[in-house]
Amino acid sequence: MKPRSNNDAAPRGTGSPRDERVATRASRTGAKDADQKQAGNVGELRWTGAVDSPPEDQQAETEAGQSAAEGKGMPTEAGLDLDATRETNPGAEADKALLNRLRQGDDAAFAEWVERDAGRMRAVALRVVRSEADADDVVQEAFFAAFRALSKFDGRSSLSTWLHRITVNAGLMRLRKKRGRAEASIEALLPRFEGGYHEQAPRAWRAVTPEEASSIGKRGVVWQALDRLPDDYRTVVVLRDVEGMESKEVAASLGISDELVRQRLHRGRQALVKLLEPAMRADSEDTANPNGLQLDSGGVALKTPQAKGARSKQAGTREAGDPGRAGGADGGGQGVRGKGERQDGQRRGHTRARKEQDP
Amino acid sequence: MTCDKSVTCQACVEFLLDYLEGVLPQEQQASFDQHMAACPNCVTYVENYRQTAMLLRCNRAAQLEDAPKVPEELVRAILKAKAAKVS
Repeated sequence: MKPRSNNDAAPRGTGSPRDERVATRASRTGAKDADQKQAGNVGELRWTGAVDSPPEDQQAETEAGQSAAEGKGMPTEAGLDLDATRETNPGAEADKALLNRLRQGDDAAFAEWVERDAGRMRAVALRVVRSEADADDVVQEAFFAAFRALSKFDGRSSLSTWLHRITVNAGLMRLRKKRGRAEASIEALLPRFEGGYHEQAPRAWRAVTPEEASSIGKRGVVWQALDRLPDDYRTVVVLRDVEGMESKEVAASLGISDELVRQRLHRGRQALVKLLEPAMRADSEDTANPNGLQLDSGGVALKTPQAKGARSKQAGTREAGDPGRAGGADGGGQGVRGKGERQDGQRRGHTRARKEQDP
Repeated sequence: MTCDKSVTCQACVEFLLDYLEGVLPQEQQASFDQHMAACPNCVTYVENYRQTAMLLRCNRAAQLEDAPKVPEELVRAILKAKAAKVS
């Protein structure tokens, strides 16, 4: 197999990241994915609305509730990477006491739960749906879905962890229902090669400590870069690297194969390497000018939100192994993706084939 | 170019996730190791890739540290909606 080319990509339009209604191929909670296989650890990389009105999408709420009630997509201690995702654990005993009160229908307990976890869940929802109004709706839906599914909660994980998963799924459902715009290609953001070798030598980044990395994160640099990824990739990177979910979990939530999750994760990270380079390279003036961070546009018209409908010439390319790619229930059918995305089960074989053909 | 010609930079980057996870076939992993040992461009790219993953992780940590207080109106809305639907 000939190595893919990254040099023929179409630019991707972007809009204002925060208030832009996003559209992505998102969750099919509980979707069957017989092809999924557990990915290995990521090794050293595995650092592991309308508030005053009820949810406008009763169906989403119903699906979230059913999903929770059926135990689909719900976190378990075995199924969720707690090392990567554990937030402040209020303590098992406190959780148990609160759970008992919740199950007894104690309204005060529900209020306590909301007061305790709604802030973090809103942050989670915001990372998924990117709109404050949508995030508020998602949190509302998630709490009610969780409340209705309390009898199914086995208590092996914390309430917060369980609620986190429900919130992510509710957010993904909302994204799916809102999806409608064409998806752009990620090709323009991937590294380019000439004769199999780097077209341009990668520039070394300055070393940053975790503290400095957090500081950079607080300034929104990483989030700005994430917002420039095509939605399919952004969703996977956010769930996998930011939310700390396992590939298998992400695959189940999105209704895609574990292999496709890995492909999108890798490509999303590659794109972020390019987008973050101007702010991170050793000769960057980021430190001296924290408000003047410049991200690589990757050929994207960053200041022209009206260009967000830009289409790739690859439009219509169907993604194998990804249910819903042909449209239909998702209302999409305009999927555009990187040429190099491979079908399940082909990756390993292609590795060798590609190696043999490489110059 | 001084890097190992048996594996290209493009192949290394394409299969970087597999390589870093150590899930490539042993022979291929060794070839990638050889390439990395001789290719400063790929070494730089791998380091940047790693830093990207760290930035993502730390981005979440930063948000958790500075988690905004949940809007009171949202709390009220959740409680109101729950009361309306349960009753």
